[in-house]
Amino acid sequence: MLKNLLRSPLATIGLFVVAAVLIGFGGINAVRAAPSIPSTWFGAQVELDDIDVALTERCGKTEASVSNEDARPVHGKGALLQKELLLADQSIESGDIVIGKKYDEILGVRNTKNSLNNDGGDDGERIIKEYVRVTVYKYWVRIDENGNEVKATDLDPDYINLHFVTDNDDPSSKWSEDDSAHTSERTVLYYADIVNPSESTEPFTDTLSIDSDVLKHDEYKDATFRIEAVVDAVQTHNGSEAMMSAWGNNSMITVGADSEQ
Amino acid sequence: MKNLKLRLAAPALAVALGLGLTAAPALAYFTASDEANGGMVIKWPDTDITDDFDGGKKTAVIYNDEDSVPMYIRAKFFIPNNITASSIAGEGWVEGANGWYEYRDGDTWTIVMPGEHTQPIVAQIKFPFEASEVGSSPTSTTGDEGGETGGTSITKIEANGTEYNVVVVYEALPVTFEADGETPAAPVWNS
Repeated sequence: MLKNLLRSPLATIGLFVVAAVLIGFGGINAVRAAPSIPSTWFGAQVELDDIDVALTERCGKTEASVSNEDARPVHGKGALLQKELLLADQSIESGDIVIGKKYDEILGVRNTKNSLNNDGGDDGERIIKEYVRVTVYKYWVRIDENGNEVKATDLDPDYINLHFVTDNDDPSSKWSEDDSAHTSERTVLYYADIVNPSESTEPFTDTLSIDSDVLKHDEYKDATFRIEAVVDAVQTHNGSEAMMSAWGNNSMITVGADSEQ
Repeated sequence: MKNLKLRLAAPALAVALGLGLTAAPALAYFTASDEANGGMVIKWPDTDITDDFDGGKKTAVIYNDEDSVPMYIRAKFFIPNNITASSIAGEGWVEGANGWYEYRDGDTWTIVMPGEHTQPIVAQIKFPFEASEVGSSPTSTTGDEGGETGGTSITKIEANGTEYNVVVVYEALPVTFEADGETPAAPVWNS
């Protein structure tokens, strides 16, 4: 019975109707009826603000006294730990990092979008404030005969003592570590405050040293240590949804009421 | 039966596709990201000794290679019983325990930086007999793993037909620091 119905002309007509509806759906969006009398052109401009963030560094004795606001933005490969900055003006002057000695290595984050409103008022929509988090990797590499870097998985990143400034040591610190993401190589820190445009966070590291015990193990000879930092920023408007979407479900930052506009 | 299912399936899929075309475009939140990295190679201890025997004086100088790390140094002479050293001295060297001569200024150990060397330390050899023939073969130097933290230099002296060995041994330790990471700590030697 059903077979006959489907073979009937009614089924064919039915299919034609479905096809026509489909074309209609696709076509309606593309085709517009043009006005019969063209009007004057009206122009409109929409400026979409952008969110921006950068890492900053103050390293060695010479830069340690520089303020957070004047810290150098650092970006890209080789930007961190410049020898001439890290090693200058130390009590032991050396052309290479002295094992066991502590050096000042102060890393921070800045919202590099300039504040758009000069009279200090809060335009709400236009100024992109952000929440930030930082992921820091530290590891050893070896340079092979072709000059390529090969990660040295047999060497222990714990000998690279990069000291993080978090609420573990200092309860007043706004940086918190995500312990579930912690490995000997990776540390993830979240900043518990909004970073306004042109503003910097508190620093998240303060010193760097290579543990003296490294010299007891021949495998470390001629090895190179690397520190890598990645900063992520997300808008504060609808902060918890934004964070959920960008960073997944975690409870590291509690969003205040003013971010839920 | 199969034919029937297929004939139903096609329009059903077509309708679903049509509904799909009307879906709203996806939305995204503003995000930004940046990264930076850096690092450097670590240097390893590497030291060496040169010494000279001339006119009864054995002079030793210990070098810290320029690709090395800051080091503390001490040295010791081994001289056969039947010949004696009338004096062992050098500027910057202080006699310590167990016959070791330590490269320090008072209680503060001198840091020998990469590319630098110690002041010479000289042992004045005295023969108790009239040495009719005093010659020496070139000193030979051995070290551990390329002289990282120590080495030996031997001078063979021939006097009155007998061979004597005058040996100087040195030890070098990388400079370590107190808990503050700034103040150099005193070396802890093995013996």
